[in-house]
Amino acid sequence: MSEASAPVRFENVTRRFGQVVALEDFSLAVAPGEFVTLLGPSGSGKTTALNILAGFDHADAGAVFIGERAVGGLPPEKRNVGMVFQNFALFPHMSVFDNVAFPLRMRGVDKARRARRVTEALAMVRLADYAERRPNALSGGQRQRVALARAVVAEPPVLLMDECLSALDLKLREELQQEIRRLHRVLGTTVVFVTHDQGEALSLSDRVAVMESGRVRQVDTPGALYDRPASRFVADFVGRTNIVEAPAGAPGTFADIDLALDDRRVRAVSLRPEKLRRTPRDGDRRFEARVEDVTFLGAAVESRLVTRSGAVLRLSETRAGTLPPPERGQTVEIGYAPGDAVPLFD
Amino acid sequence: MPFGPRLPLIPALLLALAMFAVPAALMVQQALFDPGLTAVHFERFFTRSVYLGVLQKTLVVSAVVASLCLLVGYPMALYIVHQPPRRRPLLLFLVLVPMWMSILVRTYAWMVVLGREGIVNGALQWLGLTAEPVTLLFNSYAVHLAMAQILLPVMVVTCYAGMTEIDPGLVRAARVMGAGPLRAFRHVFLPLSLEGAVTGWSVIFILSMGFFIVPALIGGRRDTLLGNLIVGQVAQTNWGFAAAMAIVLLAATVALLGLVRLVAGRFIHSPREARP
Ligand SMILES: Nc1ncnc2c1ncn2[C@@H]1O[C@H](COP(=O)(O)OP(=O)(O)OP(=O)(O)O)[C@@H](O)[C@H]1O
Ligand SMILES: [Mg+2]
Repeated sequence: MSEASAPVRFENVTRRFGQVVALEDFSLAVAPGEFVTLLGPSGSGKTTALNILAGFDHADAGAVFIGERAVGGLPPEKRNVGMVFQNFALFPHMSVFDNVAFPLRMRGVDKARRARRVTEALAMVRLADYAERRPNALSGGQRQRVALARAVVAEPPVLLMDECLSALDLKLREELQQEIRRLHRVLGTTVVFVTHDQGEALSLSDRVAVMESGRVRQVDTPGALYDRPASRFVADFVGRTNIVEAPAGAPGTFADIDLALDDRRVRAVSLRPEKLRRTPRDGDRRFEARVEDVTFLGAAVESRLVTRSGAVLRLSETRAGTLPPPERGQTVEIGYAPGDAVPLFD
Repeated sequence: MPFGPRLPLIPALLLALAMFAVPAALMVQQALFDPGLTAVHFERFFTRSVYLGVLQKTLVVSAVVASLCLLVGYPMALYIVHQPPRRRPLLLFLVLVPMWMSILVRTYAWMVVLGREGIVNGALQWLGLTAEPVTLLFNSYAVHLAMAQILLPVMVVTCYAGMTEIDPGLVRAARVMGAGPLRAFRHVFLPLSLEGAVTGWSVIFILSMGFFIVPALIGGRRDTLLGNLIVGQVAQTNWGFAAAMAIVLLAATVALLGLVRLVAGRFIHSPREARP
């Protein structure tokens, strides 16, 4: 309608439900055309944030902007956003065509243009032949594609998606992820996406905001989030990792893995399983560990290692490597680049 | 074991057989044999304008009462379904409380309310609006009012049940897509709640068709319904004619409901979306 994309901004938003603080001092700025994901465990306030943005809920304190406009006082129908819901929320009494036409009808678009735009939107999600069907004559993946078409048909500058893939099985989910990426590329819309699936967040987003109990813990690109988690929570939540604790009396020292950091505030380090290797290189830190268990995972093999003092580490190796997989009970020498040990201060 | 899973239905089947199938068969027999096969009872009914008038009146009163209940009950259900879940049981309970009393008691209560010395007349005189008591009983208004009040809980509960099937997310989806509250209601909630509303209307219509206590106690002479005629004929042990009228009542009810389904069927949609 107006512009292709608009910035979105949360400023110090707080929302309480009785004793429960769903959002606390929540701030986030999304650039026009950016794809930002709210990632966090169940109950961390993701849906609350999205509901406040969509106008289904209100902030107790703080402000929300779409474009340059504070939208706190606007009802949902005045916010000009598109939304895709977890349970699809297709109107069961309308055909696929009428479902997709609904936002246009509500915006007073005339019939001829409506028909053209609906046809285009359905073609975009490859459902052109399904216009006359009822939603309950569609599969889950098809329904969610209809919902996608319906969300974008009126070309809202902002698109909201709340766990919109989690009702689908893995294969469909990956297919729809591709679809969403393609739509985002083609339309250039600002997208605020919500998920508790870190893999989905990393693969779809320009930036990810990791949330915990109503607060943003870290906002970064997927790569930065993965490589430089700012806290133990983020390190653990995004991807799989080994967290090695420093002994209580000696922060910064990790005798187990041959590491000593000058910074005495370091309480633990995060070491990704794929950063460990059985073929240490020059400059690597080295340590010995016993192989407790070996698990075959298809493209990779994962081994459970126990260090001298009993700490458990996971080692992940691609099967394309030159070494045969380790054997249970074997003692191996492990190396890693010192820069791959990410210090954690909490 | 073809009958295995249906075994628990045997008591219900026996009950239906003894209390419904057998009496219904006897009734048909009473209406058609006197003692040989005869259409005399039906002939009597369909050739006298008095009887046809009563049939028509019964259909109209039932339809009006069902419509009144819809007009009052649908908004009530709408209100309850939009209350926080914790408050709803209390509200539904309050709706259902009147059903604890028998129809007879509630009809007498209406006599107390509408009688010459009743609450309404008392209030009117106290306010100085009337000098003398007005006659509020023994007319069609009283009959409609009492029947609608007695049957209203059925409508509220039926509409409510239909409305709880509607995913509130659908209305939100409509809102975020640009529909104001009224248009979201009109395009999404209303069509999906019609199934419950039509069911409620039909149930009340069926119940009204058989009413006879209310018109007998607080209706005028012209408010006689088919149920009253049947009671009268039974009292005179005119079994044949009573049975014939009962069959007419049944047929008229079924025919009208069929018509309603036919007309409304095009607008009714199940709120249940099949899950993937
Ligand atoms: N309407 C409400 N009334 C009371 N508490 C609520 C309400 N909505 C949310 N909460 C609470 O606020 C917190 C945040 O909820 P929210 O739904 O935003 O979490 P979420 O991150 O979306 O979780 P999930 O991944 O399970 O969807 C939770 O503790 C939840 O119980
Ligand atoms: Mg949620």
